[in-house]
Amino acid sequence: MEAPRSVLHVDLDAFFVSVERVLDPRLNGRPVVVGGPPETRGVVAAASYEARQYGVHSAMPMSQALRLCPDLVRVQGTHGVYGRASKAVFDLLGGYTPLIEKVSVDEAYLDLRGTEHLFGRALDAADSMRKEVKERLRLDLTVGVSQNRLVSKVASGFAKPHGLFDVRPGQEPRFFAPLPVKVMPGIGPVTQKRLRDFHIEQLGVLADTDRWFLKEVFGRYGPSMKRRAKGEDHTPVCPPWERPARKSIGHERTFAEDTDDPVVLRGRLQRMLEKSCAELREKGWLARTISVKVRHADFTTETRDATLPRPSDHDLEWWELAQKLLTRALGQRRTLVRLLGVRFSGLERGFWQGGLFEEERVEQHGRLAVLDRMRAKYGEHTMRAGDRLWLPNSG
Amino acid sequence: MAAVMLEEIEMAGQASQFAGNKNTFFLALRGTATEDAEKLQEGDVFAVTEGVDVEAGDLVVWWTGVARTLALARVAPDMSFQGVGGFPAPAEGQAAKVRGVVVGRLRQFAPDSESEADSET
Repeated sequence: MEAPRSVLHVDLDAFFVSVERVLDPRLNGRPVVVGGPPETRGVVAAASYEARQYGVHSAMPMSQALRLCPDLVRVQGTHGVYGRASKAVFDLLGGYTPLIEKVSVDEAYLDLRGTEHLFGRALDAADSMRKEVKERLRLDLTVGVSQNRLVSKVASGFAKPHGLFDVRPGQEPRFFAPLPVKVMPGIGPVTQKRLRDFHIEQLGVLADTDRWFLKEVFGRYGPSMKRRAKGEDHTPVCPPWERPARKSIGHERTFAEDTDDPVVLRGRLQRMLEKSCAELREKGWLARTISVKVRHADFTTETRDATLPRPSDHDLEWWELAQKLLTRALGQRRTLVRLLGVRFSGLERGFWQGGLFEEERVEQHGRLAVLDRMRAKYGEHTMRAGDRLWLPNSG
Repeated sequence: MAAVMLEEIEMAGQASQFAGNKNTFFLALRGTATEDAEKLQEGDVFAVTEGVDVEAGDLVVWWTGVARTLALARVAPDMSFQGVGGFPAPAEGQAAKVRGVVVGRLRQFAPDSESEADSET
């Protein structure tokens, strides 16, 4: 039987803003955002808690943020500094356990099993980490503590800012039961609405819902949602040397001007798809699933995905599917498109092999390899598909 | 007067998402707790669920029977209650009335004085 784990989810509070405040203490106590200027359609990359009180949040257009909070202080962002600060924090946390999985520049999971004799219980270790990061780097850490990643992630959300929430072992289902379903990672607005249609609004209700019913409504995710709603999660904390590969690979692009021109959209999609497939081939990876994301001018976002029966890195195998997904994501909407993205997931190591009767596909794949080499040598824009010749090189 | 006590509080911020669920409430620890395995600290906030079964190993909140005061106790393998952090255990023969089981503990830290001092310079 597996020994109980102690998993921490650590999150650096308003990270970019906090780093800027270390560099310039005059920013302390003021509503601050980090991000690009409104004239270039800049967005808020991070907002201080003072700014959030005005309704300012990450990913909001800077122009809107400035309207909401006229006293807002905008900082452009200091290139390279955030990465160094992040490394300093996670190097320090590495002194507590080698089992660290960094999930972003300001967020990580730590597995503390086997460290009790050095640092005491997970709660004590978390307390000590928080103090050390504060004293040595002047940054605030919020920590969620429990026996698994899922519960620790939700717990840290409750401890923000600069707090610590420890869920007692065995109490995970009770901790989750009264919470709204939206707090559970992976339950987005569409699933929330679907659950609401069935009067499932709290995790406790979801946990008690019939497994077969959930499977019928949500497919294979249904039973997994039920387990997670009880606070069950066996996902390991994977340090870099144990990680099989990145979870996904892809590109997205915000248009300089919103557009609904199908030629522009198709051309941009194709370019991003080609780049992503070339990256897959370069790394020796294959993908199973493709997602196409469309963000409309009113900021509503539609994402559609599809899976191939066999994993692939072949542009042409994906292209037909990508076009269908784009059409579905656009739907019947009449609004202009602000952003377009393509992403491959379900990655695995391997090289594409055509079937016995797929000579043409195999030949195409050979040509793609030649194209990859030419682009690597002479630049990405040396060769391009005929239907996107008009695209500017910088795009 | 007891060295430690529990005070029911309203939660703001993210934790207020528990609000609306009448089975969950929050208690803040006031006073200096005795050092023991639970390592209670003044200001610790306990999320407590009412109306659930008590099991060995649980940390429970129970009515002491004195002036509507609450105390924390750990449930031993024989299902007896052991006081923690300076809270009393039920007296011999006293039937402890449980109010709820602690599901989690929140420890929030004040923004540091150094940053505030910096902002004034």
